[in-house]
Amino acid sequence: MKTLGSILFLFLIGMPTAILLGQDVREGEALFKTCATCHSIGAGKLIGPDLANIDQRRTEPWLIKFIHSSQSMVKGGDKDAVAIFNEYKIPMPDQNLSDQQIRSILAYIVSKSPGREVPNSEPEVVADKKDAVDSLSDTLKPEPLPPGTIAGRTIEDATKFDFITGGGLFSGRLRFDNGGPSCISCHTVRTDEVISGGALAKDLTDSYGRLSAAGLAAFLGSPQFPAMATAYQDHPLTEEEIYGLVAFLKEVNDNPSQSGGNYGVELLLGGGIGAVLLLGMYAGLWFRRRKGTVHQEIFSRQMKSE
Amino acid sequence: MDIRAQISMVFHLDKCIGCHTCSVACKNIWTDRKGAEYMWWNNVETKPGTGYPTRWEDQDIYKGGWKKEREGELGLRGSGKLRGLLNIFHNPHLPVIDDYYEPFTYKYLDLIESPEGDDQPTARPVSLITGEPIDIKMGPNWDDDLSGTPDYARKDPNLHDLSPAEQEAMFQLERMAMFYLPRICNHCLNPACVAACPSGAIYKRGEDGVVLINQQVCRAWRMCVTACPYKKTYYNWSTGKSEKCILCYPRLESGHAPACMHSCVGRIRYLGVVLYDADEIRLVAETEDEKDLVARQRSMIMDPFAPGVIEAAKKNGIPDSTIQAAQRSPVYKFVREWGLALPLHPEFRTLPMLFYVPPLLPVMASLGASDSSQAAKVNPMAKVWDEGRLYNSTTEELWGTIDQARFPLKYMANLFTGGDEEGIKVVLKKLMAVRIWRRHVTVGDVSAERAQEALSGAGIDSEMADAIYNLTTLAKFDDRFVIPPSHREQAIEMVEFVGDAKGSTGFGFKEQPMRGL
Repeated sequence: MKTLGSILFLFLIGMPTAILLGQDVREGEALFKTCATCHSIGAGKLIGPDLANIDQRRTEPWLIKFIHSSQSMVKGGDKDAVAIFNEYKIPMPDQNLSDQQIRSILAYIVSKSPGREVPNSEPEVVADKKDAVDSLSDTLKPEPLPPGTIAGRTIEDATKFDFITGGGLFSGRLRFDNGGPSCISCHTVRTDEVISGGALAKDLTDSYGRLSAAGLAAFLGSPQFPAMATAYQDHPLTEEEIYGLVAFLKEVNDNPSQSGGNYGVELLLGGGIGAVLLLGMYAGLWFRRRKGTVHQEIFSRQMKSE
Repeated sequence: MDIRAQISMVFHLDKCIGCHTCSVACKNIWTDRKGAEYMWWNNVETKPGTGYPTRWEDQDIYKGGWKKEREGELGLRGSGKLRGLLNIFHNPHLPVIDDYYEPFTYKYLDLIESPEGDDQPTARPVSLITGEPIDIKMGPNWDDDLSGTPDYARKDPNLHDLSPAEQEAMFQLERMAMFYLPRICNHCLNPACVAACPSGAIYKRGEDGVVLINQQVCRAWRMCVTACPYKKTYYNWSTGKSEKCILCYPRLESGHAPACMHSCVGRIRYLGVVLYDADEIRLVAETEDEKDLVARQRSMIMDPFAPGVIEAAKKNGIPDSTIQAAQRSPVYKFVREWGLALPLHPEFRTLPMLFYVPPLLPVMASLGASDSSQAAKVNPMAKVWDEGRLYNSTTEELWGTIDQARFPLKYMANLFTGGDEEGIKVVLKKLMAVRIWRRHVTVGDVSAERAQEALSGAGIDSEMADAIYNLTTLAKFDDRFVIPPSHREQAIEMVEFVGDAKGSTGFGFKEQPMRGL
């Protein structure tokens, strides 16, 4: 009876803690999927910094503030924030998360940081069975892929075909399978392969250089900037499409077109001369127009009320 | 021989009193709409005068109608292949709204809603285009009855061949005369508006030749406004489409006369179908000498009794009822049989199918010789007549007064025969002969020999004179308007398969009724 009582006691005391801790970490794990686009935990830099042991480098209030709005901190002149922004050049999008949710994410990060993994808080299962499952999953697990692998291939394997496909997807000549808008609606690249595109968002010519294959792939898989996130929310890109786009952007980055892009004075001059010519032509036509009315003589004699 | 049917009209100008009832009837039915306020599909002009739009006959201004090009072919004066392309976005010869007039109304409510004050309230004129108060500068018939005025009558484009002395004589106060010229769309056989339309929106209806603008196809190029030498297509500034007289085809199709004709107080208007040879259109329109145009156009209208014509008409699918209507047509009588009616400005070469019986001026009259004190006041062209009458336009010198008419023949010829004075003289002689003949019959103060002499001089016999008299003065509705049945039951088969509608007549439902409760 004593044993039963102590078990019950343990259960009553321990359970809430375990549940609480487990919940935090599980919620954090779910939320971290968003972060994983740009950040890794212990696997090196992606678009943003590696977050392993972040709690030892920054204070929690600083992190919460930064995650809420990184740019306001940069503008506010926070030394660390400015340093990070200068290093990575891409502003971290504002995250609409509660403080509690951010703490959950941080808890998850800590739990995954190398050397600090907390013991599995899940209720014990039969050890043999768990081992069996583990070993089974180990044998089934594919070879760990080298970084920069997309759709099972490294970007170095890209062929001319991938490049053309990517160009087609970028320019809208090919449709995205899930119906997402083509890149050219908002972005442009300096290349002879596609016509120049939109000026609403960043020039992507050197995006491969900045983000590398892994970063681009991660970003395209789950876009984080508000406009893109909304646009692709229900129209995610497929792995193959991402591979093609990355191949295209790599090619564009490696061999940007020398011509085009900046028309400057020629465009202005051409437009001006064209306008003068056109207006001159219109004026020439206009001068052949009947002037006034056949009644003019009568009208000019008439009295006006004002 | 390619025989086709055309609903054609005759206006008898001697009977027009210039009351504008036709214009108002038309306006009330068709053009009392936004954007159409300035349009008068039917208008009545005073001649000599400048008309509506002002000086429309002057093609140096408006560039309407056809003209002979090199190699004798016809070309549009205002457009054409190259010129049309150059002007397609910018038509330089369009009339402006002030060439018509800025339509207006009055703020009548101000008269009864103004607060009490020291002054009488007034109804200010406001523009129907802008809605702003305006000074009324012009109206659609402001030359009405103003013959002789420098602003209107003396700027009549038809005076162009008249010497200054002749013109001066026309406008002497004692000799001044005028007549009215009601105008609608001529529904021409060679319509310049149809040829000018870049969109192909204008067409001439196959069954009766009514020229219509498809409002769905019209793209507001306004080439028709320029091309029509009669200025009878109008641009609706609100809908962005051009519009014109439709000869009240919804009324025609149900057997009614067009509104302008039905309402005509003087009963001057006649309408009927004529059969013409469409193979001739091009040849006639390209006639070398303008003076031959009237005769050649008249010869295009075929005898509806000739077996060959009837056979060819049937081969072209013209129904028997239309052929019968053509045989009773008052237009055929006036134009072809009697040769009394003439087209307006045939020299525009559109082959207009509205014909006018020219006015016989001066009106035949007599003045008693007993009142010899009047003799000195009488115009030199009036003769003292030995049978005791002064003002003689009848028998002493049978045709003397026609040559000395108050309207120089040249003026009438410029209007109706392309400058051919002989052509107008023949018609006036016939009109005069009929009057002399009827005076002999009814009053009896003209002797039988003189009456016969008049008839034979004009080339008609007493039977024809009586027929002309009957159709001119006594004609009933069914004599004046011989409208062929439109056979809509057949026409609909061109656009849809009527078998589809079989069994679907009877009650119609907006919503299908449910069976049961």
